[in-house]
Amino acid sequence: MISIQHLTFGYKKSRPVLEDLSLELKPGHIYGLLGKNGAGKSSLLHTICGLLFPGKGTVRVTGEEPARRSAKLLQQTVLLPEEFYVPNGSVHTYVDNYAPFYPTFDRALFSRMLAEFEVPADSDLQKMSYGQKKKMMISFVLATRAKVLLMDEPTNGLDIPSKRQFRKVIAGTAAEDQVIIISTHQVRDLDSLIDHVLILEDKRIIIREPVERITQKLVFKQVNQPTELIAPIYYEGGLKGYAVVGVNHDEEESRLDMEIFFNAVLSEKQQIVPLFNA
Amino acid sequence: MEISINRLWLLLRKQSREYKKIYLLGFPALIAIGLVWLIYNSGGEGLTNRYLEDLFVCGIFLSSGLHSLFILNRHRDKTSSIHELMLPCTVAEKTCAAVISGMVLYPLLYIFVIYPVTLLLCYIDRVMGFYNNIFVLWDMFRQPGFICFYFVFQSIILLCSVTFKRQVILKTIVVVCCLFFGTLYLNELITKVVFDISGIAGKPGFEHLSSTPFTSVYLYDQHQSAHIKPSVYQQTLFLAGYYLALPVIWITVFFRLKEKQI
Repeated sequence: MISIQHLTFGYKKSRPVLEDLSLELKPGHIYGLLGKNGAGKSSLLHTICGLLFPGKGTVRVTGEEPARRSAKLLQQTVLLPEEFYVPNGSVHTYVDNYAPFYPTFDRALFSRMLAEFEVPADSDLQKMSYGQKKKMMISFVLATRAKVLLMDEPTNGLDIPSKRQFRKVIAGTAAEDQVIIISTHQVRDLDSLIDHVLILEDKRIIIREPVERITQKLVFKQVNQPTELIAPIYYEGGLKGYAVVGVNHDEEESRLDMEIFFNAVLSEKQQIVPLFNA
Repeated sequence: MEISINRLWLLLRKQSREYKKIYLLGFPALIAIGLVWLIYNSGGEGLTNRYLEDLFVCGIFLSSGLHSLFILNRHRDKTSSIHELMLPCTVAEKTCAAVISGMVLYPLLYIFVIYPVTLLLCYIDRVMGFYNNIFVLWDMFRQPGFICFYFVFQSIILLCSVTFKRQVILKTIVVVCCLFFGTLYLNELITKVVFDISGIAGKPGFEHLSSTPFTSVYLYDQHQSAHIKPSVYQQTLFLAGYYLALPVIWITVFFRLKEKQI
């Protein structure tokens, strides 16, 4: 579905943000794209949807070059940016104006999601709060039923119930022929949703693993003392003890703590990355 | 170059709906500004054709220029640029929509709104005892250069709106002024080459020249004036040059949009 080969991109030629990045993404998965500020997550998303052009290498989405911005590809590739533009008019007007551009737009699904997010369909977009606008945009993006959904920090600005609803609607609408990439810092909001983790560091993807494989290789535990886990790779202290990451020698079952995993990968890169390349 | 009539229609419909409020407020504001201008400038002659024509022409050029700069330019900032670039239409469709909107639909809307107002003003003028001729729109459009000049003006503004990222208005004004005065200067040079000015009416000594590409060439000195009407061939040649500039500008707009990144 998405094939990136040796992608190099930079706003200045001398300072690439992404370098020799290769990645294959298959339909039927929700990918969580994690990385530090300025790591190039948004640039990667923008390159996938054709808003930025690769300096070197190739990007193909459903077999087409996104930089060509064909109408067919744009109907199937939808981006929800972190900061977005909303035109004048009501939600109804927005849908009437924009939905006809997407042949697979599902109006019933859109109305259902608006109701779930408690966004009034007749409200004026300019008078809505940022969170409400975001919920409207999330509903619209999902209702397009596009094959590639790219979301940049979708839970920013959402209140706590809306974050839960967001997880619910994504889980309920994600289809087998869709690729969903969610770039986020709010990993705790989404760790039950994401089934593949992509970590962008040093201008390339250093981790691209399904959640099951991560928990096969590593064990995540909450302990009173880090020494309770034999040979911990990484630990973080908190009020309720320590969150520890160790090598899963005994094939123990544990739940992936995405935030701890991300921090562990960044601080103990040399130890963790080779585990997944083996 | 893929163009779907359906998507083109959707683009134009979307634009008219999104800016309905601005159109509804903009035209009354334009009429009010025009009336104020007329009241201060008409003097004791009432509303002569010259005043009304000046007002009509200034209005259409200024308002359509602003229309193109603000409404057709969706690349002012990153968020609106993303919104515009991610819309599932080809670059050719977006270019066509901008050209149709700025060069056909907006002037038509302007004529339908403003011309009846000028006719009403002519009527009021007569009621008030001034007997000026009715302002006939056709007289203005009959001048072959008018429509062509309008198209070139609009196309240049469209090009500026997709070329400049910051201080678009200022840069566009500078470009338009440079092109306008540059063209006038070039016209004079070309006219001097094309017409035998020194031999006009057998009276050498006409020093001052006034010319536009499509009208008669006026020659003045202190006590006398004369004018030369260009031949149909000369006029056609001038017009063809300007009309040929249009597709060149539109193709440039197309490539600027195609290369656009956020």
